[in-house]
Amino acid sequence: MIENRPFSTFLAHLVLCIGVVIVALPLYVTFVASTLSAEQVLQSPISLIPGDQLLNNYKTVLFSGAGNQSAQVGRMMVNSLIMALVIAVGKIVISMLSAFAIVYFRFPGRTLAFWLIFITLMLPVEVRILPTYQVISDLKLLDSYFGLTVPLIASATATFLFRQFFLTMPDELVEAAKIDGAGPLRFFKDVLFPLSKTNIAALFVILFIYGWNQYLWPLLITTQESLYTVVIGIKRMISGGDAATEWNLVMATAMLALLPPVLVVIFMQKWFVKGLVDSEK
Amino acid sequence: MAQVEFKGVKKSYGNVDVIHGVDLTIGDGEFVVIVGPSGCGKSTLLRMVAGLEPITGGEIWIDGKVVNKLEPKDRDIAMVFQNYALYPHMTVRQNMSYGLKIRKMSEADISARVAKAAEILELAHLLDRTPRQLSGGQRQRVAMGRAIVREPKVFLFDEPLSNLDAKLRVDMRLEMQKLHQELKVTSLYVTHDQIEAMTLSDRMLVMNSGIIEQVGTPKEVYERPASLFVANFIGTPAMNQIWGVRAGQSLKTDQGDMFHVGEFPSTIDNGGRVALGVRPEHLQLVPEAQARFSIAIQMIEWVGADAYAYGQFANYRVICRLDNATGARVGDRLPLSFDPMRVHWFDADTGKRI
Ligand SMILES: Nc1ncnc2c1ncn2[C@@H]1O[C@H](COP(=O)(O)OP(=O)(O)OP(=O)(O)O)[C@@H](O)[C@H]1O
Ligand SMILES: [Mg+2]
Repeated sequence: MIENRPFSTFLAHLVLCIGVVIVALPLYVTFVASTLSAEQVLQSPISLIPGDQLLNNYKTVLFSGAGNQSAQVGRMMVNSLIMALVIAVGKIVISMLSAFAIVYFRFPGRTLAFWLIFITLMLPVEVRILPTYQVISDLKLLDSYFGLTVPLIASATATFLFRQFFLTMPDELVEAAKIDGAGPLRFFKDVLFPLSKTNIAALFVILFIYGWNQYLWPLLITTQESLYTVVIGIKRMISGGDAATEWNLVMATAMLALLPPVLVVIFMQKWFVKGLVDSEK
Repeated sequence: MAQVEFKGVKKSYGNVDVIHGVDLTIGDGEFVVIVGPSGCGKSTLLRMVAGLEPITGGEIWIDGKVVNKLEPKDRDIAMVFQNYALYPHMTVRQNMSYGLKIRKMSEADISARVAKAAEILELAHLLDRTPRQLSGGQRQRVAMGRAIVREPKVFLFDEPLSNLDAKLRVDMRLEMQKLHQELKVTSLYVTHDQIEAMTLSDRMLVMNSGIIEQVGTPKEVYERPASLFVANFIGTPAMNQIWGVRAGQSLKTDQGDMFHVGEFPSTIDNGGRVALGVRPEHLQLVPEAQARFSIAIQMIEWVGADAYAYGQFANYRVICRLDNATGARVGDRLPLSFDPMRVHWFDADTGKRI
């Protein structure tokens, strides 16, 4: 698209602008709503100009909680953060180690292990949620960080991705390391891990967001407000029943909930993009 | 430095035999080149010495010790791979010192060795680059450097030059030669390239589908090929072969053409079937009257200093080296002869030299 044709340029821009409006408008409305007072937000049509309650609203949700429940969004954010981090890091560690085992070691049942992992790819969280709930509940792990995070850590997808990556490593690299005297763990630490860095970064971003956005599982597993994640928190704020929903506070919470994934993407962007396009071998 | 011995070494993958028993002693400081067609088991043999492939049968000795059960790192060998196999995320310096670090050598010793190797290989100014920032030839040198710093008893090379372009390959070949003169480490070198094999080796080993066809100095192998296979494999263009039976002092080809040979080896009986081999450079252009046979030129290949004329005699392709000045053209008839001392005789059934 190097040629200079005014009409197609105009058309391209038009399409882009429409796209931006479609994506950005709801976000903007959310932001505006989070700066209004409780009365203003209920007016129809809703104002498209930010109000003056920004600091107030955010302070309220962060430190004193909102709606029919008293949990602070600050607390929820911490819970979400713990959950997202544990899941992302846990998944990466476990899947890297299992992929390492599957690719580099010949042990009995290796193919079987691979296929078992591979088959679980077909089973998303929602499908195995009831048996998993049963297990966690029998283990008396409901309402704990352990119950919240560990069942989501096992990851076929990440294992599979690492396996594919390891398989693209030239055999000679392994052999050179063998001749250099590096044992398996040393090879993992000195060669495989550094070479996987970009993949890890990309996976971290994806998994962090995956963990942050978990809804169904925390909803089942947590009953105490002190363990609510921010996604659950938003839901609880809305289901007011007879009490009026304070939409300005809900929107403020939503804005806050948006923040960490956005930050992670921005900070990891360089690595993330590199991991998706690059193969440094 | 050390001696390497193969005692009835065999290798099979499942029930496919790949190496059928190799017996060979490589002397201390000797440079032995293994050549052979693709898939004949050269790499396999080398990798068994390195400890990267388990040995199915027989024993390999390095420096008076059986190494069959030893891990690669305990064999005191260093290997250079065709694709270099450098660690992509490490600098040249780290690549070279990694093995030493694992061996827990002191920092000072490591830098001393790396510096020395870098100097020999002219890598000193590249030490802080990563392999990605190097050319193919430089990567190759780093791979050599990684082998040198180990100061191993044996060097193993698996087609180390075949990823380089023709010119660089010649340069590196000379450097390999220099390096060997300097270090005098026992070396096993696998290659496809005849010229590499001829120029580098103290002795060369010609392999064919898992057996050793011939071991000898390049001169021996070229001048007295032990079998038809070796005669065919070594030398470009390949040796001419004419098959037939002895009829008195003449050879009668399978198609019924006859030509006078003169002296036959005494072991060839009248009526015995043999293959006569003669190298293109040993066919001489002679006056018609003295010709043993003649060919019509079907094609001429100019290769700089020489030209090769391709023709046919009784169903056998005959190649003859021509002086560029001859001025022969396609379609001309070439009356040819050879010195009976310079021909090779092979048993028609076994392919062995007579
Ligand atoms: N892992 C394996 N399993 C089964 N067969 C194998 C295996 N590795 C090698 N082979 C077989 O062993 C034979 C020798 O292989 P090798 O790699 O030693 O050949 P090579 O002489 O080095 O060939 P090239 O010149 O192409 O490198 C080949 O026929 C190959 O098919
Ligand atoms: Mg090979």
